[in-house]
Amino acid sequence: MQNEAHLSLPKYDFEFVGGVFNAYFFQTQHDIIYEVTFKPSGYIFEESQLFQNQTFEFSITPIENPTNINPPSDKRIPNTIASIFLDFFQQHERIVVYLCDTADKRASARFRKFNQWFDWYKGTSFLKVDMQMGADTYGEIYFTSLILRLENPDAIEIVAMFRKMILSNQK
Amino acid sequence: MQSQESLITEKKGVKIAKLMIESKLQTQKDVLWAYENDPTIKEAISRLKKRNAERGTPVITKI
Repeated sequence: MQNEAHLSLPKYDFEFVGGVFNAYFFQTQHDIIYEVTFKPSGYIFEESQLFQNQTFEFSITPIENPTNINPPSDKRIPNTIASIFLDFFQQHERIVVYLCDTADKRASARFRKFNQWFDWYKGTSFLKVDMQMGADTYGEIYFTSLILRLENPDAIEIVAMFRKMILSNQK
Repeated sequence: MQSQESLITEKKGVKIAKLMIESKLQTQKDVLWAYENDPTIKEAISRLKKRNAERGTPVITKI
């Protein structure tokens, strides 16, 4: 997100709407409309009022797909999401949490893809902490990441609290 | 501080993971509902489509 190289790469124009979910929209060359949201998620840091107000869940949802097929791979989408992340972090100090969808048993693949994407874009300004949680009674493993600015003055405390929260929520 | 840190736990954190999954699924439902019903969302998408049509492409090279 701070990797300057990506700023000059082709990406999709996006529209910021805001609202409760801090919504962004973009349209692809295949006319698919995606909504990117950063939903306030204070429950993750219920012990800290300050961190509650800074914490958001990242999600991307295709909301309009006239192709009626699964969205094809598109190299411009990662560039676009990187720009949206950058825009979101520019507004305030933020903590973003990403959880891979487990619905179709492809969470592990999504997590690898997300990590590749993040490693390419993070530059030297962002910190990511990965947690692999589970398995539950169905053998499901959950993959989640915490992203914040490396220069966040509370970074060490936030990471420690996130780790403590995960470890304290045993099944 | 390292720029990236990986921490692995097993059979822990399932409760909070399920809360997060529920929250994410609810977000997706809310997003699709708003797309169908919220005039603010419809207007924003119309603005975006119009801008892309005027440009002749949804692709840009600068923010």
